[in-house]
Amino acid sequence: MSLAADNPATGRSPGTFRRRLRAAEPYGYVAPGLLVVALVMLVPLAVGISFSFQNYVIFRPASRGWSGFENYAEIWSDRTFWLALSNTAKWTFWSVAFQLGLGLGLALILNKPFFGRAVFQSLVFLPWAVPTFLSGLNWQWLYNPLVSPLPAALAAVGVLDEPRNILSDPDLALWGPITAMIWWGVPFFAITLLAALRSIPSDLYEAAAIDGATPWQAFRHITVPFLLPMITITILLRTVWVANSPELIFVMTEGGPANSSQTLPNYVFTSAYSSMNFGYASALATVLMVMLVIYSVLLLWVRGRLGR
Amino acid sequence: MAEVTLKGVAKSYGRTPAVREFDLDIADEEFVVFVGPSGCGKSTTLRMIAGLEDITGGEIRIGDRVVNDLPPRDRNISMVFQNYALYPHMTVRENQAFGLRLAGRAKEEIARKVARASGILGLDPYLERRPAALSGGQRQRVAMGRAIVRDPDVFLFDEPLSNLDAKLRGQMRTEIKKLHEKVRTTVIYVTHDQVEAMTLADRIVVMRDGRIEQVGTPEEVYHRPVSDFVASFIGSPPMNLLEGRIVAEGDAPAVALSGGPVLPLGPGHARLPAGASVTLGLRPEAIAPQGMAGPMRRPFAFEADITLVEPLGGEALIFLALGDREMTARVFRPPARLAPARGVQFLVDLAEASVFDGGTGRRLGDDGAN
Repeated sequence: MSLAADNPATGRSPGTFRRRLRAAEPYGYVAPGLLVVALVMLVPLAVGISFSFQNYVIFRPASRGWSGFENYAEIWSDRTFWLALSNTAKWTFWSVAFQLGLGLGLALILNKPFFGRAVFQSLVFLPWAVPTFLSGLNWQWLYNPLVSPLPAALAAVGVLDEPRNILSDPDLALWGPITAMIWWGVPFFAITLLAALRSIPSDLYEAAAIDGATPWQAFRHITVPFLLPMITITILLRTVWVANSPELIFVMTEGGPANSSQTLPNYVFTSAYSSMNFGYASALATVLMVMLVIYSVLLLWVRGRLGR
Repeated sequence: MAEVTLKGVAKSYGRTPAVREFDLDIADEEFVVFVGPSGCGKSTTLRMIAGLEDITGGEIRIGDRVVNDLPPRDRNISMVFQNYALYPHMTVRENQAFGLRLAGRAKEEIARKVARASGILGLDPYLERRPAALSGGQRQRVAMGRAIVRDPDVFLFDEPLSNLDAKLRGQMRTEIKKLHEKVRTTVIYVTHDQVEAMTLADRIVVMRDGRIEQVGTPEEVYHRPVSDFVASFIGSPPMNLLEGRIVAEGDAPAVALSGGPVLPLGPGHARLPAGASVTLGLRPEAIAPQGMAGPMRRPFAFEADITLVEPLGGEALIFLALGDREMTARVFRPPARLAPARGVQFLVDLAEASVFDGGTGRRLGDDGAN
C-alpha cells in the first residue's frame, strides 16, 4: 500500500525510466576515473598483447605484420626461455622465502620493547629507501674480491673454496642478485608484519597464558592465525614484484654468465632493447603476465579458504 | 578447591607504588570482591594473583603452593577479562576447549566438559558460532564457559560486566551468583561498581590508593564503614556526610552541625572529647519525613526544606536543605503528593549514625551499644 509506488491516475507504476536513470547516476561519476585508468593501463596492455602476435623487429620495419602464434611457438622451442623460467622460479621463491622468514623474525623482535628500539627500527627499514640500482651496484662491489672483504669472509667460513667472485660463476651467479633482493626486500615484510602484530589485542595473549599456553603455543594458536591473512597478501604482492623486477639482475650480472642468471623480465628487457625484437619480447611478457595472474588467483583462493 | 593467601604483597612501577602491603586470607569457596575507584590497585592485585604481573614484594599462595614465580599456566586459575578476550578465529566450542586441548586432554573428556559448561550457561545454540556473531552478553557467557571447563582452583573476574548495558549487567550479575552456587570455587572479583560488590560478595575488600581500606561482609561494610571514604563509596545514593563539632549535652555527647541542629549521640560515643571536629554519617534511608518513617530505634526530629524530589517508582529520593548543607533521604512507597516544600518535619534514626574523625576520616567510638 505504498503511495509512492502506485500512481492512481495512470494506473501503472511510474518513473521506471527515472528510476533507472537514478540507478545509473553513480556510474556517471565514476566514468572519468575509469576512462583515465583505461587510457593509461588497459590501452597499453592491449597494444602490448597485440605486439605479441606480430612480427615486429625495430630495425626491419619492412617485415612488420601479423604473424599469429609464431612468437609463442618460438618461445616453446626457445631453450633460453625455459632456463629463464626456471631461474625466475628459483629467484622468486628464494627471495620471497628469505624475506618472509627474516622479515617475520625482525617484526617479532621489534614488537617487544627493548632499549634503543626506535633507532633499531629505523635502521631495519633503511634498505627499503635505497634505490634498487644503487643497492645492485653496492652488492656487485661487495662480491668483488678486489674491493670487498665479503668473498674472503665467505671463503673463511667454508661457503666458497677460495675468495672469488660468485657473480662470474655460472652455478652461483643467481645467488648474488638473490641476496641483494633479500637485503632490499626484508623491510617490506618487517613493516607490514609488525603492523599486523601490533593489531593483535594483548589480552588474547594473557587469556592464552592463563589457558595454559606456552609461548610457542601462543605463537602457534594466536599469532599465526592473526598474521596469516597479512602474510598471504604480502607474499602475493612480493612474489609479483620480485618475479617482475629485472633491475638487480640487470645491474649485477646482466643475466650472465652465459644466461646462467637469466630471468624472464630481464630476458624481456634484453629481447626488446638489445635484439630490438618487440614482437618476441611482448610475447614473453604476456606469458609471464598470464602465469602471474594464475598464481595470484590461486593464492587469493587459498587465502579465502583460510580466512573463512 | 583452594585458599588464596596474600602476605605483604606489593607492586611498584619504577618508583611509583601501585599496591602496598596487601594482606588477605581468602577461604576456599569464598566469593571475595575487590572494589574501589579506578587507580586504587584492585586490578593490579588481581593480575598479580593471576601471574600476569610480577610482584615487587611479599608472597602469594594458592592452596599450599607459593606461586610468586610461577607463570600463569602453572597456577591452575581461570580469568574472565573485561573485554572477554575471546579468540576471534575460534568458534564458541573451540574457545572453551582451547585450554583443555593445550593440556592434551582426551577428546571425550573435552567434549564432556564443554557440554557441561555450555549447558550451565545456555550456550548450546551458539557452539559453532564465532565471537563476532554473538551479543555482548553471549560473549560474556562464553568467557565464563572457557573459565569453567578447566576446573580451576580459583576464578578471577576483572570487571567482567562493565562493557554491558545496565539491564544485561543486572541479569549477568544474577547469573554469576547462581554460577557460584553451582560451581563452588574460590572467586576473586574486581569491580568499581559497589552494587556488584554488595550483591555478589561473601566479603568485600574496599581498596584506596593501593591499600586495603576495609575488609568485611557487605553488611559490615555498609553499616559500619571504617572511614568516611568507605562510607561515601559503598551505597547508592552515598551516605550523607555532615561536618560538625562535639558538644556536651547533659551527660552524653552530641554533634552540633554547623548552622543546624544538635544531634545527641548514643552511649557508645561517650568518650569523645568536647570540641573535637567530626563528620557525621547518615544513610539516606535513616532519614524520612514524619509520617513516612518506618520504625526507628533512636528517632530525632528536625525541620528542613525539601528542595527536590526524584521519584523512582517504588522509592523516592528527597533532597533536603538543612541550614547551609544538602542531604539526601530515601523513602519507600512514596505518596504521590511528595513535592518541594518549606519547613517539613523530618525524623532521623541516630542509632544508624556513624561518626568519623574530622581530620583522619577514621570511624570513632564503639557504637555496638548504640
